[in-house]
Amino acid sequence: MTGRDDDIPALELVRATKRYRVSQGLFRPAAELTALKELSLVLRKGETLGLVGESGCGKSTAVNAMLGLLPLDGGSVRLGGRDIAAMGLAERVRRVQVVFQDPYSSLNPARRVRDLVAQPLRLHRRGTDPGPEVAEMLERVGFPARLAEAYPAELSGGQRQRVAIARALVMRPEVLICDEPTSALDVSVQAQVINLLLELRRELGLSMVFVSHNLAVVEHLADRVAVMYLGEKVEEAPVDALFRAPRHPYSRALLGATLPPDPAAGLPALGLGATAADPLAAGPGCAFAPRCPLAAEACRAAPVPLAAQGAEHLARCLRAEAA
Amino acid sequence: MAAPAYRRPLLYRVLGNTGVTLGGLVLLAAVAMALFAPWLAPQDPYAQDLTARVLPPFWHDRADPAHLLGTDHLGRDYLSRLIYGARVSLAVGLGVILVSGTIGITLGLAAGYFGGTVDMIVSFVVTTRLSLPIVLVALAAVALAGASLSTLIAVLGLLLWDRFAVVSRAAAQSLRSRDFVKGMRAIGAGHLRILFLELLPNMRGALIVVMTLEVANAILLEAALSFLGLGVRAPMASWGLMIAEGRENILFDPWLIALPGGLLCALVLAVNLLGDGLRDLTGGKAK
Repeated sequence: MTGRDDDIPALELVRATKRYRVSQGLFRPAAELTALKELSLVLRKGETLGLVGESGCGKSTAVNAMLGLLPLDGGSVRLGGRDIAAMGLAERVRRVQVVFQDPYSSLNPARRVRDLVAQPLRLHRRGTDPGPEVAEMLERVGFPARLAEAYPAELSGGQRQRVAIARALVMRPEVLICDEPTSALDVSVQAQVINLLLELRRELGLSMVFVSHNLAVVEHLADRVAVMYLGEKVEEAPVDALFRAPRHPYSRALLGATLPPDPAAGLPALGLGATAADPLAAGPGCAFAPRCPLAAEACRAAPVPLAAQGAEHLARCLRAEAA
Repeated sequence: MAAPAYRRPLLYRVLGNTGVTLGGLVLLAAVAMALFAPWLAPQDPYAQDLTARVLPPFWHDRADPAHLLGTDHLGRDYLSRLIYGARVSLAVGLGVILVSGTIGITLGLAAGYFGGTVDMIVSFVVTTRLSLPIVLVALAAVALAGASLSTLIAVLGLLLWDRFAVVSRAAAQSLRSRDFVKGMRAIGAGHLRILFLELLPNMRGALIVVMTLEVANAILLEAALSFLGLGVRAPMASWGLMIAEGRENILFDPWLIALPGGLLCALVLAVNLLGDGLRDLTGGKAK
């Protein structure tokens, strides 16, 4: 299985850049917010890439770009080696699909389950009866057939997420993007959905991008992990390496931010200070420097490049060794 | 159909709602009256008989059994005219919301969904429309174009779309940020499909309410304009026109006004009851 075709990544972001203009009020000039800063990611075939970072770090922008819903200001998104911007609608839809975080908002409340799952087929394969495929996909995701005529409002969160997954997979895409698919669910249901995704990944040979801030889930699912901070990739590594020995102080803070099971232990100290990430206050140097406990003069002076830290391990930090 | 057991069949839910049942029955009666007017009306509504002017209805001593609800000032059978009058009211109500609903919902959906410049333009148009006094503009337009049923429907339709626009704009704004809209984009659906096939069905409840309000509004405006002599033209029978024609006799023959006025009132009330009930019925599901 090492033909030439397998070397082409299933999904690739090449220096993807997206800027937004943000109004600062009536009389002040609009500021420019860089939501994606030359973000490069590679998702190999059959692999699962975890994408983590706090709210506002550009994860959702990255997801929109991967779906081809966002015109980029620079760089490109490639699916199977072809630029998504130059791709026909039908091909794009067959190659990449998405499961959203909140199944209460990702399913049109006015449509029945059977309709929701059949929709992609109806749009792209007119003339054929979607019925059998819909039924098969619903069975595959473990959704009870007797509820196929129900409306989303009549289903539980877990059932809804199963419908969302069936809808995303009914076109048999190569790449499935999961945008925090478990964080809106009850803890007991999260495990079911994750196991379902694992099973489907194996059966259908999916390549997956798994966006989350639930690190335990990422550790369980992903092969490699990319950590994002303010639109930049600050660290990328195989999942074991990242969780065993994170090199970037931000990754370390993220890993340290898990609540301990003992309530008496209090909140974990992160050493990040009280400031939150401010995408508009960008200096010339490392974006993380204002919050970084290790920041030195050199960090603030000039942009920090990604540097190799080991096999397949990249980190954007001058002081990666200092920790 | 394997509907979940806890959702009662539609018929039961409709019959359990007094507003829908009552309003629906009255409206159904009015529609039947309008559709079958030539068969229901006992006499020709336009036939004048100056020897039998202003006859009282059946409960009166002087009543003529040939004219169950009496005659008007030209001796025309009042019952027949009332039956034919339902046609005008319903045609205006239906015609006006078809025109105004199409305009308002299209503008509102576009404004709420696209936002930005589109929203600014639509909001400006809505504000402009709201600054026009309906009756005055309708008077001027009807006076210019000449009074007729189709002019009336067109003019009112072009004036009464603002509520449709405002309501559908607000609904589209709250819906567009939901993930299912992005999901539809991800499966390759175009904006028009998303607007009319995905967003619109979620606004049913709110739009049905607006629709009934506007039907009632249009029916009343038709009556008012006809009363002022700028609605449908005599000798056509319209409830508003009949009230106008009866006003000289208001002191001695008050039924000339009470009958069409009562029917108008009942029809508007029925439409409002129906809308209210329908909102309750559909509201729960669209949550």
